[in-house]
Amino acid sequence: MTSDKNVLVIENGVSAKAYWGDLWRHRELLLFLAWRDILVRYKQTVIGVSWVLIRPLLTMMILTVVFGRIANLSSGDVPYAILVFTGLLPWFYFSNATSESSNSLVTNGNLLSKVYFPRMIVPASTVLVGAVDFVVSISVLVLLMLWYGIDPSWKILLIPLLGFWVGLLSLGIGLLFSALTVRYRDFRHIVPFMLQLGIYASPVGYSTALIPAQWAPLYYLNPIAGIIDAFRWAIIGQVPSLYGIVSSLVITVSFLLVGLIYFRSAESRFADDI
Amino acid sequence: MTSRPFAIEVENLSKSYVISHNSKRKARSLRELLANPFARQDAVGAMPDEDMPKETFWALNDVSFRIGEGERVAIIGGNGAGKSTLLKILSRITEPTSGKVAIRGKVSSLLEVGTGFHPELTGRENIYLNGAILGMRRSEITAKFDQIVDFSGVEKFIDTPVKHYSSGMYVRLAFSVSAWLDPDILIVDEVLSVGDQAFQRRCAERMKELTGAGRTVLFVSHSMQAVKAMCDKAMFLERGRAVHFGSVDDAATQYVRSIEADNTESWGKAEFTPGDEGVIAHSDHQNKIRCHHARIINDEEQVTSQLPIDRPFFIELTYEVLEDLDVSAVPNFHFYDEFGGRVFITMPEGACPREKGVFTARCEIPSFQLNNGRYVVMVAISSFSLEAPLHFAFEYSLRLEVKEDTGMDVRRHGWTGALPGTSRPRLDWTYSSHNRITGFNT
Repeated sequence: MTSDKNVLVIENGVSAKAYWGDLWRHRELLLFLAWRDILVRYKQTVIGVSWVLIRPLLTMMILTVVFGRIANLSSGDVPYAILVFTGLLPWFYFSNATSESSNSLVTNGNLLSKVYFPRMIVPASTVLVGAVDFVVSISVLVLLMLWYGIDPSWKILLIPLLGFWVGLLSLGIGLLFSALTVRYRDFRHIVPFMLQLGIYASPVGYSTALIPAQWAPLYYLNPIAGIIDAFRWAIIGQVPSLYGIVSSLVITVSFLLVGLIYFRSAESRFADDI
Repeated sequence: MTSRPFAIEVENLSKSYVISHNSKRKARSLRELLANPFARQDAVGAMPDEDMPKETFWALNDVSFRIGEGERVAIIGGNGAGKSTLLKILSRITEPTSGKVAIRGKVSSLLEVGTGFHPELTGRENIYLNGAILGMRRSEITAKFDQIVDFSGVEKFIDTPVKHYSSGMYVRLAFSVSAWLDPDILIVDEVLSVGDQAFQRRCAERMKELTGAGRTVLFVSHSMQAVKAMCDKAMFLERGRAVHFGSVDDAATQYVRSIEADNTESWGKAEFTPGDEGVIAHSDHQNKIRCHHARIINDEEQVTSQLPIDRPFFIELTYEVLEDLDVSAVPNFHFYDEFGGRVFITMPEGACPREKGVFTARCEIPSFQLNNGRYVVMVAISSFSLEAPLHFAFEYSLRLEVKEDTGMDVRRHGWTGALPGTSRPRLDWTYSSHNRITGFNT
């Protein structure tokens, strides 16, 4: 056969060569799929996009009452509501992006069996949708900080970077679980369940200052815990656990690697398995 | 080199699927996964599991061919011959098990119209989305937007969600996006039969335009007419093998002959039990309903595949509901003609049994419902409220022949030639007289 550059070779197990180039060529599709999900989500709703704000706000109120008032936990020198919201901001991003992307291949099954494109676009687009919600919820944070009269420091400029980190973690987990869900529908039940428990296992309603030192190594195996610490450091200046941040970084990178490797190994079978 | 450069070159291409029989699970078990999480899931698929009888089915078997640039090639063959599998491999949707394909140029494949259309989005939004899914750039879609809308004829409703469209409008819009793709190689899977007559004509014209401009085209169809009109060459696939690749007429002849050969050998098949040779099984769930057997019965309660055109007959499906169901499980029978074209699908009216037990569903096919000729039946049970509805479907499970002896059809009025078509309905005719003086019957 000719060794022309324009020639695409299809063989069992050699899709890898052109993959990343293909992914780049299909970048517009990534945006289109995210755009579709955002458009569709609030069709036929009365208050539309306000839902993005109402969910974290209501959750914040409940957690503030339960942990701040009833359990009477300490929030240091900031209002309890702010402490909770700085945790909810990354948590909602993480849990929405993770649960949506884990399901994304199955819900987009009709696309996978009819058209070719690098499949990674599907879970990635749902993470992008989560990122848009995240950006919208930042406006609530700004309002809350004005309300409580909290002056931000320069560190607040790190929020986009931290948001990117949450996105990478969600993408890593989403790649792994979306590929697993194609073959084992068990994960459709496992992921939401883990996320439901996760809000309590993560420092959303309370501060990590309450975690006893000897429990920290175990506690910070939850990758979102270190990230929430980093958010609180950037927004309200609470000193984070360095251990937690390093642990979270390592776990994020591990998930990305494992997710990528597993996703790529399973990808060629998606259309047959879906 | 003076020879025409190739557009598609296929060498020893094979694709196999593993079919599991009577398995309780669809997916690989979690236990296997945990034991070996990074095992490459190659196309031959799942790891061996002793308690699950398995069979390898070769959807494509050692197929080699070469298509030159600008050639228009038809792929013909019966159901399950491997046509769709071949298209899916060439469009990169699924990987081959072995063999090699080389493709030169940009490929667009239309295995379906309107892939990715979302009912909640407007026509305008869906054009962009569908275009992007088919590989068009946004600028390209914007440039062709007016042409697409014009072609579809739905200008007035372009900002209405497509869920409010009639099915005709929906399909027209869907086809229109595809019609403005601009690839080097176009792969089409019989999407032409959409819309009303006028729209079909426009589609056919547009297809001619598309295929005229030096484009390489691969076209799958059951219609020999469409194939002859559009293609210069044809490949005839039979049970995963490329039996013939050459002139359209030769391939068509071989195709028809193979059907006839099938006919003389073992056309009739009045009884079916799962596991029969030559039957293709599909299933989404295997733990709720099990198929016992299916039969063709004439109006004298005999099991037979040879049925006179003027007598009714029955298709019977006996199945076992393994657990009480919370969804309806509807038996459905699909009739195909001998060329694989769908004749009709029939489902019962009213509620279907949901409780545990063994049931026989019987469907009466009235006399003259089917024209004389050969038909294939697929028996299936589906729960349409489930996301994956299929309990089972067995392609080619039954084969029957409707026979007409002289004198069976009084409506022939002495005509002894063929009356083509897949049915010969007994329609009501009336006369009215335009004679001023006397009525017709007086």
